[in-house]
This record gives sequence, C-alpha cells and structure tokens, in this order.
Amino acid sequence: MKRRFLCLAAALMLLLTACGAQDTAPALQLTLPDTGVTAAFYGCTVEEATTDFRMDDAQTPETACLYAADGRPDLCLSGVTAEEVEVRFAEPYEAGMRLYTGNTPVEKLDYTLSAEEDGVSVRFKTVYYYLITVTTDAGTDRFVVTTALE
Amino acid sequence: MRETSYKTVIAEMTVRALWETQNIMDCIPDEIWDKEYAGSPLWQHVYHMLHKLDQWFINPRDKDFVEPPIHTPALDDLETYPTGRLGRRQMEEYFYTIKAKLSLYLNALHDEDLLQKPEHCEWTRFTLILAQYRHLHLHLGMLMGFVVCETGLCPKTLDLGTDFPKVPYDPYR
Repeated sequence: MKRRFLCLAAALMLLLTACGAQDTAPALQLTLPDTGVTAAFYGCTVEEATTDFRMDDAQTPETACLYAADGRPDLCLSGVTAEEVEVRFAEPYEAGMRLYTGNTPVEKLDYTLSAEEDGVSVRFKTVYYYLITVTTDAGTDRFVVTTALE
Repeated sequence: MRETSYKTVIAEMTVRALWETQNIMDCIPDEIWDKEYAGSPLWQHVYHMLHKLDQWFINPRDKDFVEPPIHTPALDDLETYPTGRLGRRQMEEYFYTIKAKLSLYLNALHDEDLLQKPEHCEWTRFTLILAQYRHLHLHLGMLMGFVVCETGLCPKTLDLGTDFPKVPYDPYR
C-alpha cells in the first residue's frame, strides 16, 4: 500500500513539474503543423485566427496563425528547449502583420522563458503583438500572439 | 539605440527605466520587504513609486482612472502607515499591469501629442513624462540605497548605450 502511495506521489510530482503544469485546463491546446510541437495557452481566453505575415516588406506574405488573448497568457511548448524558441515583436502592417524591428523584447521585462522538465514555458508580461518562432529538426513554425490588459 | 523621433527616444528611455525598476525590485531581499525606512515599510515605498507611475505618467486628472485591485485608501501615501500589507507577487502583478498600460500609451503616442495637454490636465504630456522620470528615479535611488545598506551590493543600472543584459545575468553591478 505504501509503495502505491509512493508511486502516486512520484507521478503527481512528475505531473506538477511538467511543462504546462497549471491548476486549470489549457484555454487552448494545439499541435504546431511543421514541428509537431504541442502548444498550450493558460490563464485567459485565447481565440485562434489566421493573418497574412511577412518577415520584411519585400517578402510575399505567408499565412500565419494568430492567437488573440484577452489577457497575458502563459504559453507552454512541449518537447522543445529554450534555444529552439525565439520571441520577437510583430506589428500590424497593411491587412496583416510583419516583424517589428523597432526594438526586440527584453527577457524578464517583456516575457519570461522558463525551461520545464518536458519543454518551455513562455509568460507574456506586456501588451503587444508577440511573434513566436519555434525551430526544431523537424521544421519551423511561426505564429503571432496578441495580449491585452485584463 | 533608435533616436528617430521624440516619441521613439521616450519609448526607449521608458523601457530602460522599467528594466531598472524590475531589476531593483528583484534585488530587494525578502528580509527587508517589511522593514521600515523613514517610517514606512519598504514595500510601501515600492507601491508609492508604482502608483504614481500608474496615475501620473499618462494623465493624473483622468476621471476614468481605476485604482488597482490591491489598493486601499491612502495605501500609496507614505505619510500614512498602512494597515495591510502587499506581497512581492502582488507588487509584480501591479508593475506588469502598469508596464502594459505604458506600452499601449507609448505605442499610440505621436511627437505632435507631446506638447498637448491630456483631458482636464494642466500639464502637457511631455511634462508629465519627464516629471514621472524624476519621481521614479528619486524612489529608485532610495530603494537602491536600502538594498546597498542591507546587502553591500549595488543593483545594476543601464548606462546609455549599454545593451540589456541577457538572462541569466548578475542583477548587481
């Protein structure tokens, strides 16, 4: 019986230290198409849409996912390392979005990026358009997260 | 550093000031969070500094200004000893809410707005911004002094032209 409790405690500990360990279910969970990485948003409502996106003005726009949060969510990316995740700002441009080059987000001030046992947790701390790029051996996924004042 | 417009310079300077604010808050040891300095617990000095930033940077006469949920009457007044207590987590949440408000404001600001007065306010936007820089840094200096006295270590500040340090970094000089 004692052994069963120990196993249960170990399993719980693993669950609580895993990426996305939250006391609530994710507001939105999805699999990124090119990398196969699981992404989950926590902490506020997040609506999914698409937008035209370009890295620079010369580029032909590509379609990117846009996740509009009604607060500042936590994003958990499973199975990746911090080095595989890049956080930049985006900005509205024509009918879509583009990379914002005016400044780059400052880690700890604009967001925190924490390595978890099975992935990475990104906490958005300001209100703007964040461009998230996930690059693994399988490919690259790029999407925009918009945050808002609660 | 970009210096293409007044608004750009203000935005850059504000981000750097907010980085220093975050860093000094990080450097406050838990042991002195409730310790009294000049008759007020240290956390109330932090709250006073943030509350003024929240209320005065954009428009101190804004009739729609909403007090933060952690606020109680006179909690921001260093002349009034607080009956309650604010924890570090509550203070950080408040700081990030202010930072979010300021980023929305600065993104929408144009150079030609700077010499205009916001609604019901006797001062221009530029005056309010500079006044808040003065007030913020006066209190950051006091907080740095408290931290230096307690730890012997001086929190890092950002010299002009210095890049933001990459995480992880030593928060002290």
